[in-house]
Amino acid sequence: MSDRLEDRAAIEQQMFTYARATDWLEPENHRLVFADDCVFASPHSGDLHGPDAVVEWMSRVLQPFEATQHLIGNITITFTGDDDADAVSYVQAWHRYRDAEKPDMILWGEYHDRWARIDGTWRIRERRVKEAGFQPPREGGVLNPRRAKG
Amino acid sequence: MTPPMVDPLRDAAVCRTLYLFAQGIDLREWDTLRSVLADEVTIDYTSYRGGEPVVMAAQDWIGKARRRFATMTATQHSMTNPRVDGTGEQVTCRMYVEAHHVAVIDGTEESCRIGGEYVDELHLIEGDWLITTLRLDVRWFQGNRAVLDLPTN
Repeated sequence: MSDRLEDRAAIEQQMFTYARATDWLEPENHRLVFADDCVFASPHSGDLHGPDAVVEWMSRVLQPFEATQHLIGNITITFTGDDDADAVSYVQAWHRYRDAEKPDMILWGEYHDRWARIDGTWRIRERRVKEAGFQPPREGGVLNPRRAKG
Repeated sequence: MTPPMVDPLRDAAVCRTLYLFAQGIDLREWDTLRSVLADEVTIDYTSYRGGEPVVMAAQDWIGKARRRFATMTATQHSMTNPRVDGTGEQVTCRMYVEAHHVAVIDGTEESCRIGGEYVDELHLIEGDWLITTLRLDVRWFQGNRAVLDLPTN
């Protein structure tokens, strides 16, 4: 593991940059994280192709929220080549609506990623969001990420 | 824009200091808490307490913390998404925190969660990364905020 310590740390930092880009509404920083040929997929977004689509979708879906916080943990990274890696991370995403009548929403889930080192920078080539649960409970999404994998 | 540089060994040591900070509070291990603080610490909780940052002897701040957390039956500071910036013997570490506070008020268990980010400064002092500035930027509250302000002895 130690021989890839710097690569692991660089990928983890990119995961955290993604969280901060989302929570601070810094769309340009999303571009730091995604590859030009990326795919981002969640049960709500469908498959988005390329950073422009990701940034546009993120900016739109975050509009109803006054604040969000994405806590990333339980990170596992598996290198599949010198410049390629698979990664899974847990996410707890708290959301507060601008509409004070709506209760806070929390999503628990996982990010299933493919990463690639491109021109010296690790970037997400594919991110699939697996939803494990919501508070308050709601319809939709995948109840258990592992169940979804069969 | 380029991603921030990473120094894995240094960053791991800095993060360990902050995780021990949380452990010191949550497990009421006051010696552990003292071990991660410099002798003098700037405390900046102005984002939710107002006022101005204060400079205190670490032992004095721990005394205040002990009295504050004695009013609560449990706390848990979940910390993640660290980002360490800096060179040499001084760094800034930004760390997400979700702090869960539980207390009994009028016989009922109440809780308050705080979400935000620590933006701490640390210095390398005699081989250890120690906290010299402790700043909490609060982003949100959830629950009964009275839990945070119960009278101390």
